[in-house]
Amino acid sequence: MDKQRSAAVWAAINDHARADGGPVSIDTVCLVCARTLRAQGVSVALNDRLMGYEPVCASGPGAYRLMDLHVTLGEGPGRDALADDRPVLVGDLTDDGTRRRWPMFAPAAVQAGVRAIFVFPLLLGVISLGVLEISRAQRGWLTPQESADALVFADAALLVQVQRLASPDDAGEPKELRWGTVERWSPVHQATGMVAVQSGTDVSAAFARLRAYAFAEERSLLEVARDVVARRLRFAPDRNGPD
Amino acid sequence: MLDQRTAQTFVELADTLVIGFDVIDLLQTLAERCVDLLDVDAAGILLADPRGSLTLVAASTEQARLLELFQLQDEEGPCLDCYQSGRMVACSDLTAQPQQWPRFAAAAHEAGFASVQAFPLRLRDQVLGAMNMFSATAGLPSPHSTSVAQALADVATIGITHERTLRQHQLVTEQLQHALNSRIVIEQASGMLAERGQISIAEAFALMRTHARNHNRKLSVVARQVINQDGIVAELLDPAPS
Repeated sequence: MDKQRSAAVWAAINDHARADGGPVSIDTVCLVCARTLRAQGVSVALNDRLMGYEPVCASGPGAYRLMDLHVTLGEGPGRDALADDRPVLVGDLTDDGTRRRWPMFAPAAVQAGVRAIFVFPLLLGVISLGVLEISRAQRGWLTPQESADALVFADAALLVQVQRLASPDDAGEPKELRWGTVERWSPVHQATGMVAVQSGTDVSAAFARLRAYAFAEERSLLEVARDVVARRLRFAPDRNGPD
Repeated sequence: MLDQRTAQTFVELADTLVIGFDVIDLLQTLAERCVDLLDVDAAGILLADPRGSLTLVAASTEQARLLELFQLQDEEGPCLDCYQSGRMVACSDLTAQPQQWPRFAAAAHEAGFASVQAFPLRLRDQVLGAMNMFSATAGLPSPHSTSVAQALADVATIGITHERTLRQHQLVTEQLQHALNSRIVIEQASGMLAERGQISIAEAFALMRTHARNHNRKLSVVARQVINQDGIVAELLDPAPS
């Protein structure tokens, strides 16, 4: 548990995007994640209702190959993480347990030069959007610090995706991503549920709306959430912000 | 000697630890039993999110001011110290001066508490979080209460990690994230139910908790139903007379 470390990951993502001259994209998250965690490849696949697993971004050909295997073979740690909404961490793709778990995927991934893979869901309560997959050519586990970093990268990917779903072509999007550790506190999630009912949207759209409002008003998300929970602030069932 | 009430609690907790159990139900039961068993007035369990904060996953009551106290401890307080040191931390008088945690002590006093203790959720050399207990009266708990409290905290650790002998940090990460996320699902559902019924978050939580108990369902399952199905919302808000 290290707040400064977590803040450093956010800063690295924002710096990279700024250097590129654009807003933070899912590609930014994958590239910075690959660099920070010394990964062979990093990819993001989304939760697709039809296919169950929709590749959207890969840091390089190796990562692309892994997603391709997930799609083609219909099994793998990425799919399991999506189905179970929890991290799936594999330190050695050649060990017996792993081969039994994914009899087709494990040998094929090893063939492609991957020895370890760590999958983190893009998850916030019932907001379940996809997975972040980190692969390495050497076997071995992530250190606790690396796991913590990976969780922050998964948060960043979730946030990019939530904002993209909420406003696919909104030019006024914030160029910087900031999560802030307090944003996982209860009132934010309670307010998200309330706003979903008030605006007649699903939970992820409600979360995006809360964030957009806090950003526009230059207030912290937690403060805005407290106002919603205390019923000092309501969101109208249209797209133009609170009453 | 273990008194009968304490023994019954451990039997009840052991019953919860069956295959397919939900860690949130276990932690919630634990927080409530702490209050019954240890003569304290409120209890809560905080887990350390590797992202960088102490997060509340279960509380004996959903009283807003109490929740604020748990939240404050992300910055200062006995729970944070307990988590960082891996040892029990207690303050027998929150009004004594000088205070180790001035902001926390003032807020706790304001909320009607006079003493506080925190017990670590420890897995060998790793600390997963802390169990926090508040009392309206000043003073330190007896050695007996202290050992029962630590035993309850150990049950929480076993519940989160599924087994005491868990060797891999990796599995702890998986379980911890699952527990933290289950709590978020419950918060989101509380918000939806509160808004649909125009009731408070605390009332919404209590309705879901009671329903889960009465129907022998997991709290997180009921929470997901509240989010996905209108039928259960109507049932919760307007229960048929039994």
